[in-house]
Amino acid sequence: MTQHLTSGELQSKIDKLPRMKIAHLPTPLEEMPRLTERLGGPKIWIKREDMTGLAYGGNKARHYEFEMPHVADLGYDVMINVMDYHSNNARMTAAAANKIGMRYILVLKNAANRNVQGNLLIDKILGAELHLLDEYQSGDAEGYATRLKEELEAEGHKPYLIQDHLFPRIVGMVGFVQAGIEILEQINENDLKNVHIIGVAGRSLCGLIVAAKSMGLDWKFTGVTVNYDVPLDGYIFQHSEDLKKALDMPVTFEKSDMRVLDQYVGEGYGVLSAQVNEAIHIAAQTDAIICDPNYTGTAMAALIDQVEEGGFSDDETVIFLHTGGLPAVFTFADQLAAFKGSVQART
Amino acid sequence: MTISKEHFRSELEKLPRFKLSQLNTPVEPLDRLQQALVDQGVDVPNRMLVKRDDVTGLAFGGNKGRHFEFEIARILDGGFDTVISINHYHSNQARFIAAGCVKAGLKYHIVSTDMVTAPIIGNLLLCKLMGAVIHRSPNEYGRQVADKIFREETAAGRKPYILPDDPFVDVMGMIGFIEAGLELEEQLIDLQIDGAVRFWGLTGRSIAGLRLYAKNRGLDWRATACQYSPGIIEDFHNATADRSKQVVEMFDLEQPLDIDDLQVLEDYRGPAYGEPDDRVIEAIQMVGKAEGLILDPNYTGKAMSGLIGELRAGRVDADETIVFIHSGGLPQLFAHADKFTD
Repeated sequence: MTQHLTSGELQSKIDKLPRMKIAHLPTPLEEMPRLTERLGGPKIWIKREDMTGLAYGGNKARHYEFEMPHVADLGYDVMINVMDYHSNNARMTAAAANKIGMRYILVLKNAANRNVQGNLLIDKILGAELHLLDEYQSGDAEGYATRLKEELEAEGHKPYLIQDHLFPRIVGMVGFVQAGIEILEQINENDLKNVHIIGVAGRSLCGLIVAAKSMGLDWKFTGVTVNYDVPLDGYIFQHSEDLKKALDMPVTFEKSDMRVLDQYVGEGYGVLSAQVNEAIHIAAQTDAIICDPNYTGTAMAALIDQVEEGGFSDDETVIFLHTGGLPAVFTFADQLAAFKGSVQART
Repeated sequence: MTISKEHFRSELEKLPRFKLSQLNTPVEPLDRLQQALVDQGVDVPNRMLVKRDDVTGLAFGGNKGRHFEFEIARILDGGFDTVISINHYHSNQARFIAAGCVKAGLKYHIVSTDMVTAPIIGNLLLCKLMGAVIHRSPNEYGRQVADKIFREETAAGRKPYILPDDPFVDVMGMIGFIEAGLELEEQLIDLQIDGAVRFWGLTGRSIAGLRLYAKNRGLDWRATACQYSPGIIEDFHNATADRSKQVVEMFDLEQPLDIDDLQVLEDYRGPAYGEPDDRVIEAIQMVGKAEGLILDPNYTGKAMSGLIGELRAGRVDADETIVFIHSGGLPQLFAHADKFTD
């Protein structure tokens, strides 16, 4: 039988890693009273990871608290990141790199000749050294980045190509093991029972699962996929053993710990479906919560649909994990503004 | 004779209030910006800090998340069910009203004036997401449009409320920042800041509220306010003095503000409201690069271009600690995307 950790014991495992303060923590755990009332099911709460305070906020601000000292301590002097043109990771890494004065090169796929808007606009303002790849170049973006890295090495630099390393792939989960301790305190303060956390199927939820399992908590998890191209086994659930090792944990996550919902992707990542557009409007018009079209909007659509379809029981406390991504709202301004549906409560 | 913190607190507690924001907001160092200025050969003050009122958490955050806690409570107490406001295309206030109305279950009409064909993005997009009924109107007809909506809503049996008609709107910003003053007094002690403090912001009610708090507390808090649109400085001083008298009366304080209490700078306002000049773009990029901190082109970018400009000109007292008020406004950056395309 596994011995459970106290939150203090779990905290001391996290505290062994070097860390710097970047995020505004704890992020609030708030009620969504009007959405709860509208849907007429379980009580709905929201974990405001959009309020971490780093360049429009978002969950990843937690990651960099560990990643930046790790990279700097190893003596690297420039970071290279390969991401899609509307990536939140691209933006937040830029902001975090600036906080330690680290040079930052951003190789963005499918970015040539795009409108400079949303995350891409913020990347520019943050002074990231941008390489905007066209469709053809994007086919071998990693090769492009590797060549940049080799050129920098030849010039005597010590570049850190993020995609070459393991630590950036587990650090987000570490950040969310920490978030699990935070959520536990907030759940206790508010005396919440039968906790069921729903969010984008990703590593943040995996970190929370590890926190809950290691402390012997009965939280349930639902992950919503937003992308046909990101394999669950080969990406999200890939690093369970690495996380266990990095934090010297007694347990780690397994696929069966998360209910995965894949029916809300619509036409694919980056395409705003009518259902997600409606969900964004419902959240905004019930509790003034703004969700983004790529990630949290899809998770919100899933939450709303699942409550209506009986996917949660009424005695659960549903916690919506708002992971941020807010600049993307403005990349989709035309489609959002063109929304014609009414979101008045159904009677 | 100074007014105690407890007095301010108990006066604030007398006001009806509807929770909208996550307070307190953090105060953070701007050490890296300070170093970037030193690297340019600029003499910098003792310390530079930022008050992060951009992270109040209500629909992209901002300082007005404070004020509307009081205003929304007043509207609810008055039994109104519909709010009508008249705001410029770029207005952040419009967004806060939208968010406050959503949370309070009120219907909201915004008469969005000027720039009637500009795209729905930034604040206006967020207003639309939050269900505001948007009426776009040239500036000169804004009032007439609002009056027409008022008549129609009244005829439909609703109880509408034209926001700018409420005199409380004139003072609520100052009141919100009296509370920010309470926060800051403790935060500056925690940060072990002693000596003179200068708050740096915009010609508005926020910095005036801080200054009013400090004056009545007997604190050596100085204040510089940068203009963000054309206007006669004397008019600002007069309006501020009038409003401060109202707050002194409401809060049973001793000293209103007079013309010497706020330094006003007109050099950084740019060509017009909503139009940033090159120095504003440079300031936004400089702060972004140095601190990973985002400012907006209409307000905080202008205030920061003022701070950088005055530092470069050697007009800031080296002994002071500067506290930059980041009042938010972040959605509207996306309405200015074209200013950053090289």
